[in-house]
Amino acid sequence: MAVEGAQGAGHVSPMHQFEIERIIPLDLFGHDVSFTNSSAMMILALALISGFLVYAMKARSLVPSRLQSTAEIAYEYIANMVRENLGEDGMKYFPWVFTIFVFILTLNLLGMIPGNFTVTSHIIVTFALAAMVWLTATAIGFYKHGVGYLNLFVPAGVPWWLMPVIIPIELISYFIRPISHSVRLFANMMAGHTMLKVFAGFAVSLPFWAKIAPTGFMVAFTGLEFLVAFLQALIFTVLTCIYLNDAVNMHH
Amino acid sequence: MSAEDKGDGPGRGQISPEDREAIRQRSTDIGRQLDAVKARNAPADEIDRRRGAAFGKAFSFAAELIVGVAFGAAVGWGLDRYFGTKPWLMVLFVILGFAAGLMNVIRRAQEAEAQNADLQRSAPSVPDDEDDDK
Repeated sequence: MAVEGAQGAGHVSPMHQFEIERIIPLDLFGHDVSFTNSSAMMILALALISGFLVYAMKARSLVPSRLQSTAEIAYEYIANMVRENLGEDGMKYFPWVFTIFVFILTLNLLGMIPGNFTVTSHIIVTFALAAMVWLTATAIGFYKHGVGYLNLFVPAGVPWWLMPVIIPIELISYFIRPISHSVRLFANMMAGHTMLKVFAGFAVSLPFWAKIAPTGFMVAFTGLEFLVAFLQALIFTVLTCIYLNDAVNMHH
Repeated sequence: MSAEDKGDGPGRGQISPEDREAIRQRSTDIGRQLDAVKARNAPADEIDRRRGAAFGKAFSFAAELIVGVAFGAAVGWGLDRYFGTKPWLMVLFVILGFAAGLMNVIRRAQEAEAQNADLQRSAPSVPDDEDDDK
């Protein structure tokens, strides 16, 4: 943010950090498919993840090094989550779930580096991820259970005269899944980063004797933001497992 | 077993209500002890991790409610425009959306509760509770 700060001497909007900048303008049949700072961060995240996992597991020692145990902890953590939610059969979905987790976690953490762009603070990115999860889960559900998957919308043990009310509610609750799934991650990341920038603005503009309060707050809030970055990646992954479980095992 | 037998104790293969009560009592006690052992054996960071996850989940419920209402409002608004029935479908769908969001929250909460059942049952009860019960 330092570079932009020069132009307006402390008048940088807290929302400025979310602006998309075209790095390589591209045009595909009238659609803007430019390579942006967002794309750059995603590719950086992919490179970091692949590099980290390949490098950490290079030694494949029985007694893991620190790096190797970090990679193993991440693996075990998600593997346990998948087993807990989906059962042993669900392990065939593990690579996909693990990819989602490390991708979001890396993007969230990269966003914590000052000056970096936070890809997950854009709802279109989180919505694309959530829509992918939702469409995949729905496809798996129909593939596994055929038309019977629609029974998901007809809960057992409900009297028939309640059906006209229950079925629309169930339908809506199914359709809002990808929305709440994506809003959660996006809102948390965006709100947190905006707060940080707002208080950073206070720290710059207040007289020197008052700077201590917003600065102290920022230190504490940065710690909280790291927790949020991890938790939101985790929650996104847990919900992915829960939705997959609904599709695979079909029960609420 | 005829009605007269009822007074003088259980027949063969039968368990008196007191015994059944005692057995039930003992089995719940054992269950509670097992849960306590399980919780004690869970490493501290496991409890911390679950607490952190529960914390995040609690905050995430808000999104579910807001999105439910917002989605209902948007669908109702769209349908109203399409059918020219302003504002009734929007009213209806806001209510349905709220119910749907609530249902998602309840479901998530039940799942979370089931996952932490062993930790929760083994947790010491609040000592002051006993006064309120009477």
